[in-house]
Amino acid sequence: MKQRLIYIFIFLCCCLSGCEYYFEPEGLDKDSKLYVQCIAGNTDRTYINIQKAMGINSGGDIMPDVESVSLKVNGRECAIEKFVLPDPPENPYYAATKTSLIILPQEQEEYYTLKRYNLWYTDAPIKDSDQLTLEVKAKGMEAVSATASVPQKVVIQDVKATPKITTVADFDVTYKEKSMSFDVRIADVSPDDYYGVRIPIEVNTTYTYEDGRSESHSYSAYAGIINRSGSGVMDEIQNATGDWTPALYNNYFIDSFGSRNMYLIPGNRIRDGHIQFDCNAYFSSESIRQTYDLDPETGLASTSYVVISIKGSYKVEVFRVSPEFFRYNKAQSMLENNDLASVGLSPSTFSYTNVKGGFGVLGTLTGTSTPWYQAPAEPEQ
Amino acid sequence: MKRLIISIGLALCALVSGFGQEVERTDTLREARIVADRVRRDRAATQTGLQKLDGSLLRRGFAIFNTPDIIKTLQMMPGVAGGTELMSGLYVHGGDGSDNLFLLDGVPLNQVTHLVGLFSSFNTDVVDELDFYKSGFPARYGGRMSSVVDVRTREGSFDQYHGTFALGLIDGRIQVEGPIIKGTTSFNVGLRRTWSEVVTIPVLYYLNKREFENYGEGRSDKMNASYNFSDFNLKVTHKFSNDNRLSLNLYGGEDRLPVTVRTASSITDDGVEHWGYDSVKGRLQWGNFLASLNWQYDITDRLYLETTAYRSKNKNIIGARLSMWDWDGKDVYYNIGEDIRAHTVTTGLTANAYFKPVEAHHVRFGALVQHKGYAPEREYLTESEGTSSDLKFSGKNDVQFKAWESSLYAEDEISILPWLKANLGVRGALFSVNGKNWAKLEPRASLMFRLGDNSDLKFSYSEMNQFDHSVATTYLDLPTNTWMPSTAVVKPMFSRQIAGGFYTTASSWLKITLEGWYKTMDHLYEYGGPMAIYPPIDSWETLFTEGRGKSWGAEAGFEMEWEKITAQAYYTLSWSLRKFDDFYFDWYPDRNDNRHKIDLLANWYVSPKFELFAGWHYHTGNKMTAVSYVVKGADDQGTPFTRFEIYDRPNSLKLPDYHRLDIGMNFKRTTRKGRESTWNLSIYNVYCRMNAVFAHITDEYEDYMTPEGYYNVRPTGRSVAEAFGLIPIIPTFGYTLKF
Repeated sequence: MKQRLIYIFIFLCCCLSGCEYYFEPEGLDKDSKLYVQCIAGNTDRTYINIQKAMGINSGGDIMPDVESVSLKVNGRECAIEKFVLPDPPENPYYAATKTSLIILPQEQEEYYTLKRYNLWYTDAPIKDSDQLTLEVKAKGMEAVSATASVPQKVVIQDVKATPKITTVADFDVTYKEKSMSFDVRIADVSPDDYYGVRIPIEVNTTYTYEDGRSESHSYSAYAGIINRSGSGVMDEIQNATGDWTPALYNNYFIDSFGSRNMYLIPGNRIRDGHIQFDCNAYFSSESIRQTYDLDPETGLASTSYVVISIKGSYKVEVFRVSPEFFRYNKAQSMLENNDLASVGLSPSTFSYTNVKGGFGVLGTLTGTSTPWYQAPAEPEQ
Repeated sequence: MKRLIISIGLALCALVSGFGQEVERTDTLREARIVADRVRRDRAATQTGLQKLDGSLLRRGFAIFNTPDIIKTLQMMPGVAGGTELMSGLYVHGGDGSDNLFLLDGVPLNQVTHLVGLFSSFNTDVVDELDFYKSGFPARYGGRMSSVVDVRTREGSFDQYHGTFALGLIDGRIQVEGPIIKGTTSFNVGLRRTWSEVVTIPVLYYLNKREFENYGEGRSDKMNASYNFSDFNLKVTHKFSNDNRLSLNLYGGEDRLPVTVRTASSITDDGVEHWGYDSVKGRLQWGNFLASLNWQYDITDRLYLETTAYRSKNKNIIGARLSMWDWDGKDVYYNIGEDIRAHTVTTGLTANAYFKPVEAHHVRFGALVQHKGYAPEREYLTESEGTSSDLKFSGKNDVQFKAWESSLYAEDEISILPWLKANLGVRGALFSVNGKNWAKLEPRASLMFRLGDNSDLKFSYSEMNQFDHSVATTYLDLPTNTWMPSTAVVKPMFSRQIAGGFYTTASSWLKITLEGWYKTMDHLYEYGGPMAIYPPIDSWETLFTEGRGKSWGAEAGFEMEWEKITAQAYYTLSWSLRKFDDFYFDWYPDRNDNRHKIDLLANWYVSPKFELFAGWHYHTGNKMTAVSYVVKGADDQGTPFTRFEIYDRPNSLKLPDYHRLDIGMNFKRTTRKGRESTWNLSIYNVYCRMNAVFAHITDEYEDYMTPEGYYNVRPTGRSVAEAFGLIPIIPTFGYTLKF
């Protein structure tokens, strides 16, 4: 018995000296693969972004040496051109807000970054029901391909936009928030389809100063879809942000240049054809009188006033998007919003792809737009 | 690794040195009979994938925190993955953990764990026996997809009073049984409760007191928290005759965690110092309550009837109140509160009959009717007091589902030939919820070929449907999780499994089991939204994405029994895959896709006063999703930077392989009053391997010496994946007294 206890004692001593704390899993030195993003539809030029996805510890050039890019529409080859970014304009901000699937940088420095990207494009017309095949080859890398079909066009039946004032409580501060409440009715909603909605806005602002000077600015942008706790509208967004996924958010090839403000929603969340949401749309205002310091540096009390006239307009764009487009963006949204998954405590996060042999997405969409509507006058608060 | 091999070698030396020594042991024959009986029952069963465990086996050997645990015992079985270390996960043949049917005296239980999954809810002191089915499900079981854990509690003694008292490091248990009316009515009651407050309350009292003494009234912080769980089992049995008995079964289990944190702070306004409190009050409470009445009646020698009426309630409550005083020094308070409540109530009536018309047919048939209520709700409140315009926002999201689940089954165990036996059955289930009806027919079949006196060959086919879905946004067993029914949108989960096996008693001391299975699972649901602790109540139907699963593998079991030593060796070779189109276009490994799993268990009855247990557990590492590629850009200076990361497929990263050694020792003594007392020493993870629970990608650093001669670290420019283990060696001891 004593002998056995000695064995056990020695054994325990060995064990207690064996604590370890960290391990290094294997498999980080993977061969590079092509990363291809292409969003094709009837609303814009089709851009193809070709990048290199590198194993975490793989070295070498960060850009692929592209040998060929092929996009076929219904089996017919399209003419592909390399996209060359123009020199940055004097005021990149206003150029950036032009409506296009490619949003331009808002800072001059970012133009130089974007110039390093491998962007290609085609102006071939793409319409609903088209079958697309994309193939890309690069030197020393596995060729990739993807196929997709362009979804059917959406029919917008009715749009109702109502100005709305919401009281927002932020602890000891309450304030009124202006928004537009939209009810967009579309036809033939399928629970298996995926949809997108986007609100382009145009704002023309005229400043008339006390001394009679007058200047005007105009810009285009997209309104953001918002929601408010307890408002009764869009509560599902608050509780289930995964349903309304800001498309192309951050990780599109315009990454870090901003969101495209297209919001995605699966068809099974659309009740009786109604897509309802609140939006931070602009209102029109005939005259806002403001005073300002003529010389803020000296702080002299020489003030003047300006009358600001704002004329806003908006339209509603509704898209039917391909399942791949939706899944890609939803996966990207999850990746950016699920820290628990990154440590394995929540269902997996991943980068969705339908690109065989590589990564990225060949996504398609078909958009329909209403005419421009005049934004209503700002409601009384 | 060398250290590990030396450790195991020494342990084996210690074990082997006990062979051949003649030590008297009073209960050897009894224990041997139990094991032999278990072996017979396993082999006699027609079904594949059946493990029968006797309550006495569950209570023996290793017990972390001196608390024997049913689920942790089942995790050692072949074909079962345990998931996250130390949690009570049960992933059977590629299942997802929420698809196991837990029956306590025939009544389904939803919440089967305490302490976020650390302990199972079953008190082994009152457990009589347990049937664990991994495949070959008889038609009498239904409602879950992957396994059946049928736990039967023990009737109290009809003749004398006795019981058990046990005290562990964090909990205490007492079990008492005896006659209420000698010979006809008995009771068996088991109580279990943690006593961690004995430590936490004095410690917090001391800390709060010291804070008060240092800062005074109105300026000191204060914290109160105490976690505890408790459960009780009561079984009262009345024998009208030897053929006619009625049992009342009660089970209640609850976890409670009240937390109050008060933080004092001050602000000076116009030279006047104002003090106020911010406070957080939280409450977590979750558990089950179950009541059932069971009537067993042998109508004739050939017809037996068992009827059970029951009500089972599962509740989860989470409440939080955040109260803040205004920082501008005025007496203004803001209260923000949120309550999450989830109730699942099942009321049911089941009748099962066993009929033996002739010797060759053993027929079982029965019916089940259950009414189920699912009622999760989330209530939130924001209010202020003392402002010029007091605010109050409140809202409530709730979902109510009421469902009926009915089923009929019939099965016949047929002795077709002396060497051929079959169990053929069918189960029909109807689930009705909010006007939607799901009707399912589930065929079940098992065949057993006798190959001589000692060997059998078995095959089985079964289909199972599951109408309840665990709605959870994390893999943790949190009280935020809730159960929801199949609806018009969410389909019932469905599994189809074929299995086959070879079973032999190779010698008087060796039993060998070889099994294989192939299983498919449809309509699996997994959370597909952004990070959330609270499952979305309103939109759970669409936020949970649908997918499929498949699993296949082979198991080998070797069970050995000598005079003083019993040993089991289990090996599993398995694959478990998932396909969720919303996640990935192809099949990918499940997170519990452990290719190899080995469990080696040994009990050595050294003497009547000393017994030793050792268990070594190994499995291929779990899977998780990690960054596998990066896309880089370059700034205007040409300096590369990571633009974004790519996770090439779900569960792409294999964590390091898992292994650990547990040992347990029982030192038995007889008290002066002739009662048996046992001191148990158990050591979990003896060689303290920090098995990886999760991993993440991080920069690699290296040491270097600065020009000034100091050591420092710097990035190497490479990334590494770093895995973290959380559970070190855990020695525990406990005391058990039988009276």
